[in-house]
Amino acid sequence: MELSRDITLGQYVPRNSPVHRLDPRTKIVLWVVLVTLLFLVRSFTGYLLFALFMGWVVRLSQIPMGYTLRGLRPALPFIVALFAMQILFSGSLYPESARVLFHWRFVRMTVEALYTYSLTMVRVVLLFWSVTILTLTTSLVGFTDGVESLLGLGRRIGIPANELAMVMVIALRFVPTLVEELERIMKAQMARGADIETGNFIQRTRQRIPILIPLLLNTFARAEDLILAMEARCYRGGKGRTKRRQLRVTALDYRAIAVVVGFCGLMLAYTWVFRPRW
Amino acid sequence: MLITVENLEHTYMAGTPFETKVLHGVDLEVREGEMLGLVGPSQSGKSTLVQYFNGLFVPRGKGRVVVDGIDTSRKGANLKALRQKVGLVFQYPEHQLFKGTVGEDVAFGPRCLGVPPAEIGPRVDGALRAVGLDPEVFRDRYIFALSGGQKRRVAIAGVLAMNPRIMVFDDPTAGLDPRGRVEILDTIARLHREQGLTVVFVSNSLEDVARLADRVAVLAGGRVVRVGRPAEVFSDVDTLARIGLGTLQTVDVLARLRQKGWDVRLTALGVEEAAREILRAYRARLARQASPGAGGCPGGTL
Repeated sequence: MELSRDITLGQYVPRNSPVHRLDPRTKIVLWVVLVTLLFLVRSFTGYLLFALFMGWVVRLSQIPMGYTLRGLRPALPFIVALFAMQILFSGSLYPESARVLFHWRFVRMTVEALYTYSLTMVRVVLLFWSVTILTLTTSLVGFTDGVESLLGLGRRIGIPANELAMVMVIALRFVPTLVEELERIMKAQMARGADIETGNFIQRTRQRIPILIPLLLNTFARAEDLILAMEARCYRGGKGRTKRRQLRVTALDYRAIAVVVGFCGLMLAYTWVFRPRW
Repeated sequence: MLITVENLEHTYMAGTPFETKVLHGVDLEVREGEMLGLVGPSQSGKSTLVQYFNGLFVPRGKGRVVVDGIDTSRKGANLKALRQKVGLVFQYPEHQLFKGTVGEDVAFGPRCLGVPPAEIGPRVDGALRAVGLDPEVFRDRYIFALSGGQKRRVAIAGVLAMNPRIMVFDDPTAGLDPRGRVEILDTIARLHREQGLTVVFVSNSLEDVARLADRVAVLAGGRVVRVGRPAEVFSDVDTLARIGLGTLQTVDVLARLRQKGWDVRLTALGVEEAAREILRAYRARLARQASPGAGGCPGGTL
């Protein structure tokens, strides 16, 4: 049993690729732009083009394609379950005129629902993929600096940039740690005869208790240790702190911005002018 | 043979950029009724290896692990039965406690195994007694009110309550104070002696292993590089130095004396034994000096 193999969120794969070398601020802003685009494009062909673009980015980043997609594996059952429930039970929200594929008591499946929720599912997958690519190619330190610098723009209106960046980074940093911990506790309870993979829904929920309680307790203990460690180093927020690593926007960043803006332009033109049916 | 490991390989994070191979073909046997110490430098795969003993890892492809007749590499092997036979106590086992009271937590294992309720009480009491906690005093105590060493013993009792034939401890004394260490080691030694359990224990303290184990296996670079009685293994100073593990402090002192020309044997493991050995060598040299024909003075001072 090895959980950490499937968790890509919060991992960083060091490589010397153009994607890695980008200024983290550029990467974060471009990611936000691409996610916005994801919500504007509402067609399967559009998403296919988007996926091809992301695939190209992955190739540039020199990270194995399979690994960037691996993180989807544990999330897939949820996505599929959500999708199934939506197309089965949301039919009543659609007007009488909707084309009904299947009708049985409260289950009403319509073509429209199928179309809408298929799109949504693809979008969620692409969203997840793009976050994964962002974190896999950005070191934690770079990420913090980038977020802090971007949030700094809002400091004048009272946004606590350093604190927010710190919170985010701690959260990300602890994903792999908690996964490791979870795996250890699961194994320890399995060694005591706990059966965590079989049984009906209620049994399976009850089987989570021996895992979740220790996990929660250990997480609190860890948080306390972290607080102590930060206080021992006199951490008091970002006021007056200087940085050894200065962020610098280079020609590479301008090129990346140009490529992404160009891609967005094409995609929006495709969506709004061409108006694809699929 | 209770546990047989053949040509076992293990790779962590297989198929990812973080892929690392930790076991490169391990061969090892655990004999019925023995106490086997497993040592090795950090990252040598000790913790990984012991997880094969109770089927938390099963061989995929290369290698074979057979535990008391159960071949874990075979599909459909009864892993639940295996986990009852082999009690595995992880590092920092007190982190897995989750019930309110000591008694409830120790009862978790037997309950999972479907032991009849009437039998659970006696089993819990037996397990608590076996780790040196009086059931009358501790059964209804809250876990959070216990000391670190007591919690660890409760966790060990939780595994013992499953009535395993083999107990595997992964670094059982990690993070304990000297008193806690002694208590846990005494508990393990007593389990082995009184209940006749086969014990495998991973340890970073060579001294503990030398004191307790019948046999020692040294793991390095993902392979077992040496197996044998403690005296044999720990006197193989060159091998142990080569893999970066070092040896017992006593053997180290003896080895240095030997380098300086003293005729001492390296098989003395305990402090007193080592002292006696040094004294013997010193006396022998004095005697040789006193006897006619010999000259000069002892090389070095004692």
